[in-house]
Amino acid sequence: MTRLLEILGRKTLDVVTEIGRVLMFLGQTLRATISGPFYVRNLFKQMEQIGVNSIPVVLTTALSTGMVLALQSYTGFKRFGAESLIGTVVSLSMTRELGPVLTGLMVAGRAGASMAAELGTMKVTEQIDAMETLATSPMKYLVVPRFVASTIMMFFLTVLGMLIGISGGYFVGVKVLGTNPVTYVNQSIDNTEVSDIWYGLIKALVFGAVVGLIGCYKGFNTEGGAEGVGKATTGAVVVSCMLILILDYFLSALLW
Amino acid sequence: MAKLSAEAKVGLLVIVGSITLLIMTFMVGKYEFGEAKGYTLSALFDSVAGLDEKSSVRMAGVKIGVVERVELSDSRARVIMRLDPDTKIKRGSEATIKTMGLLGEKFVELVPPDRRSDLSEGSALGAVEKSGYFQPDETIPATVSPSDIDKLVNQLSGIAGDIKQVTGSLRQVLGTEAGARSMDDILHDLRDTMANIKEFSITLQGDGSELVMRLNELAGSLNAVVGENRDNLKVSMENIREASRNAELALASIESVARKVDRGEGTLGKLVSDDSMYTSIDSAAKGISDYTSRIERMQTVVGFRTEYMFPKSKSYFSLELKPVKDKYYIFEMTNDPYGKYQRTTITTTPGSSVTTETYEDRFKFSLMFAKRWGDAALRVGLIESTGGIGGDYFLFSDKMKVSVDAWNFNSRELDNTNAHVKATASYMLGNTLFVNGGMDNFLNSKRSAGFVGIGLRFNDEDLKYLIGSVPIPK
Repeated sequence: MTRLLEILGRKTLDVVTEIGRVLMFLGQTLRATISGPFYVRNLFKQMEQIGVNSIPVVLTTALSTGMVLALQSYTGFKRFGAESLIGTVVSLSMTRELGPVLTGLMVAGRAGASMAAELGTMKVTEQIDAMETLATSPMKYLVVPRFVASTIMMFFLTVLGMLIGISGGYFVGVKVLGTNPVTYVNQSIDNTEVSDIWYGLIKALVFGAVVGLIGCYKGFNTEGGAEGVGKATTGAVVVSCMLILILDYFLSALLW
Repeated sequence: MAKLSAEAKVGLLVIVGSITLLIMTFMVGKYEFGEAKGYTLSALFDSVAGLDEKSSVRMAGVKIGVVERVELSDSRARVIMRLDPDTKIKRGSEATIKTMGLLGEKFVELVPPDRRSDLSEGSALGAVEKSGYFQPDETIPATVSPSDIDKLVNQLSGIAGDIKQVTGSLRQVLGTEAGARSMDDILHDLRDTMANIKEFSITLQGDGSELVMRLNELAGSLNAVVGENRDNLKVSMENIREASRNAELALASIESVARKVDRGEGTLGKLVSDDSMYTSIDSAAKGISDYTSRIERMQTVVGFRTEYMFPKSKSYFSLELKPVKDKYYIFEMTNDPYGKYQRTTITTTPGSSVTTETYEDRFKFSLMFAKRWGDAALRVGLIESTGGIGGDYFLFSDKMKVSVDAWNFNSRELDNTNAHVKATASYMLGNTLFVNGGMDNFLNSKRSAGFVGIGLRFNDEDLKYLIGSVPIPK
């Protein structure tokens, strides 16, 4: 009986400690971000890695989601003759919800994993410690560029994702299912507000910060050789995806 | 094709993303460029449930404007509508709230006087239909729409109740024994009546020829009377013709006078038709009101802020003149910790030298012209005493502002080889207080630093009139 209690207690303490560590890591990262020096070249390299190289994945996901959304809502709306609302459903869900969340999940899977693996390998081969002895702050040289790059790039990837998703919905709604194109566009534009787009993009910024933070955190805390690197990579993807989905609820409630 | 560098690829993504974002927000935002076009009319409704800002205003189903604002006025709803400048609304028109489709959106329909169902053809219409059109900012009378769905459902259920009552009483009459017996009596009487009619028609058939003969006689005597008075009749007809001809001539001369007046001939005509006096008074009044309203409209915003850059800090004093909503001038003074620099080169040994730079705090000024389109604004001019360019994007009805500024494009300082680019986000905490933060000079790694700042910004009314009293040549 006491053993069970002990296990429960230890698990709880582990979770709380982990949350505390992540928050402290966030604090260190932010402090390193606002004080120079700033490694501009590294930032651009990471932006290319995280942002530019994720474009195909993100756009494919957004396109198919937009198309599926139009198709599914058509079958539902057709039953009570509200086909004209497909445009509204697609554009609202792409801007408010699916654009940022899907982009976040795809980037977490692609870039978050590679971040953790890269930094984890550097950690187990003691390159990070070596850097410290050379008086170069690994926080500023490694973490800050990744953190900033993933935050900024998530923003722009989400913008593109929204556009492609809405275009995919338009294609299916108008060209395949044959609803009135003018009604479709008018309904989409009339029922979407500028604030919907911005709420989605605020979410994207938060998700970008989460992916960068968790990727670097997991990489920096890798232990135990090649196996540890594998664990860190899996952990980074799982934790950042879960955090994205959990934070998504709170952000939606907060920004309503 | 040359291989693109990481920087170029990222730059491309950022530009494509920004343009996409701008296009999306502009499409969705339904912005009107410059000042809002058209004129406003308002209407008082008992209830506007379901009607929102940006709902459409229609006439005969064609969109002619949007609802600009809905506000409470004496426990009724005042709807302020902005209409297209070239749509004129006839006096006597009415506003009603209608619904498009069964679950569709609500909109305001303006019904012209000649199609109002509540006015009968005759005198009522004439009394309502005053000449002319509604002037800006007037109030249109409002009526409850007859096709309101709730009302329709109410009426339908009322009708159904009536029908039920009728059928109920019918059942009461016919359903009982007494009812059936009285029905039987009625049928009996009906049969008797039919028999009487039949008898009458048979009688008519018999005595009919005599009736026709009498009628013939009457017609013959009438003919004789007319024949005797034929000449008299002719004279009277001619008199009538003469009279009508005279009347025609009189009407023609009246018409010619009226036409002259209309054309502006003669004194009376000049007075009635010449509108040059009216136009000249009108244009003079317009000129005066144009000048005063320009000053009235002008906003002068005074701002002060300090930005901490760990460990340095920069303070700014700024003055914004906004003659119209989408155009403004910014004047700003700031101290720059890297304001003045001095380079000293010491030759240590022949062929090699050490260059050091020292800096001094110095005042610099910015002078910018800014133009705003929707939520985006572009600024050009002097930034911190060198040529520069900047862009702003406003969010959440101007509470938040994201700006990027670039200046000092050809610097000769050692630590400052690239242009000085600064990204700022600022947020208004109330009407005057704001906080900001961002990244300063991030293209030059030795100088780049994050900063946070706090400041005040307010609209100074007195300053405006001070500037307004200085004559501005047009």
